[in-house]
Amino acid sequence: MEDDFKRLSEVGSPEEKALIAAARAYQPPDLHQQRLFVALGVGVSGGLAAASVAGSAQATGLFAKLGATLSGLSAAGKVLVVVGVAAVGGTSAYAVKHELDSQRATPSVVVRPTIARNGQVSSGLPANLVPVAGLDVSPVSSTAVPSPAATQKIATPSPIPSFKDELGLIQAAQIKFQQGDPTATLALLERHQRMFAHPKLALEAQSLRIRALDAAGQKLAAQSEARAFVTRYPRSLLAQPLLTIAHFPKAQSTPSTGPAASPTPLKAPQ
Amino acid sequence: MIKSWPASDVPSGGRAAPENHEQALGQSVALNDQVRLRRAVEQHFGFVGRLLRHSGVFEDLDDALQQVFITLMAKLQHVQPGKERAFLAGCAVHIAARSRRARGVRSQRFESEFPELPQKGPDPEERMQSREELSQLDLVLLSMDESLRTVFLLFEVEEFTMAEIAESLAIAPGTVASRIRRAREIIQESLAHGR
Repeated sequence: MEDDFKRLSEVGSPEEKALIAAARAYQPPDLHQQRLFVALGVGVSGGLAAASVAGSAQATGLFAKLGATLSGLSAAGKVLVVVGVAAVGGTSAYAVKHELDSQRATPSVVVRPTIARNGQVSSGLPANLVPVAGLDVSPVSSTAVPSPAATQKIATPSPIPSFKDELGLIQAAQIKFQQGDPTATLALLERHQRMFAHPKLALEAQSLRIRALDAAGQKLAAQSEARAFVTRYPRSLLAQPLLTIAHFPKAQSTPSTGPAASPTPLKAPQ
Repeated sequence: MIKSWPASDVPSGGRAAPENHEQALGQSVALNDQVRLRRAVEQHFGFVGRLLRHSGVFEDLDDALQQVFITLMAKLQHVQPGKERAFLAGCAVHIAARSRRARGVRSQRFESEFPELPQKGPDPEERMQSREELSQLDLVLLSMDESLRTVFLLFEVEEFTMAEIAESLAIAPGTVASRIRRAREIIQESLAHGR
């Protein structure tokens, strides 16, 4: 409509324009977006996405090599190893096994390939960084003379797993659940429980775990946990998919918070 | 039993036909819908967050954002492709209004109360300025009637067309134009008083 009458014949004081600019500049926190993806059960972040679907087809370069190696590992193992590599940014020539669940401090390590007198190039990997079994951990080119540029820093994942790690793990569990693999889902959630002493996505994990238990045939356990969850968080959005599992007797019905009760998502426990 | 989403929360773009959230959350979303939903989050997250925030949703922003997009998920089949933005705007307006009613507070905020603003940044002066601007913005916007504020935000900040606003809020295009003019007058008056 004639560009809305030239945006309604734009006039406006500089102050008004500054105000509008300030309003436009506001961006909601990224963390909210990540939590939203988890709540909706869609979307997996970046490189982790490609890899967590079992090192799937689109992986290239190191990821492709890694994918082949991972085929022998358990689902949980795959995802966690890939978390470690994803943290390197996909640029390192090395794959480092990372025990994410140890939570122990591991300083970043600068790896300098060294040349022995016989011309052999050694990887320079310290003994405590164990290469993934079966992976070729030799430098990219064993004949090239190492230059300062060849010095590669292995960005070992941060000593304490970050929220991004947690998010990746929960999303991987969601994918497994959607793929109809409750056993792998439970394994990932168990790993989540071990890795994160103070999880931000505890309720998301718990809700998913109950659904996975139900899908895995552990009906009684699922029902009892679902009832506890729904009773404790009756207004949570996360409780809603659990209602059918909780299977409350008609008379008891869902714990109500009154007629105005509407689904309200919960904040992550801090 | 938890109620399904109130039908009144469905903006006109949403072709009504209420479904319930239990189903929406309990069932796994079909792959096409997942892609569509993800894209909607990627494209419209910022705009929905801004609209909620400038409509007075502060501490509950995270929750409100989830409610808006979960409503979209529940109604996705009834939202025409390409109309997601209008649908989300309508939802956000309803949810912001409900959030404010629930709090019962007509936000009086002070400079120190901006948890969403980064505490660290390259330039403290710049940070201070953006805090001041946001603070002033809140004062001006929240002193306005809700119906005017919403139209102003959609038109001036989010650059919706008048037809999009009319569709999102289920009002006549003429009403949109008059509300924009009225909102501008109020803002100019507020700014003049503040000088």
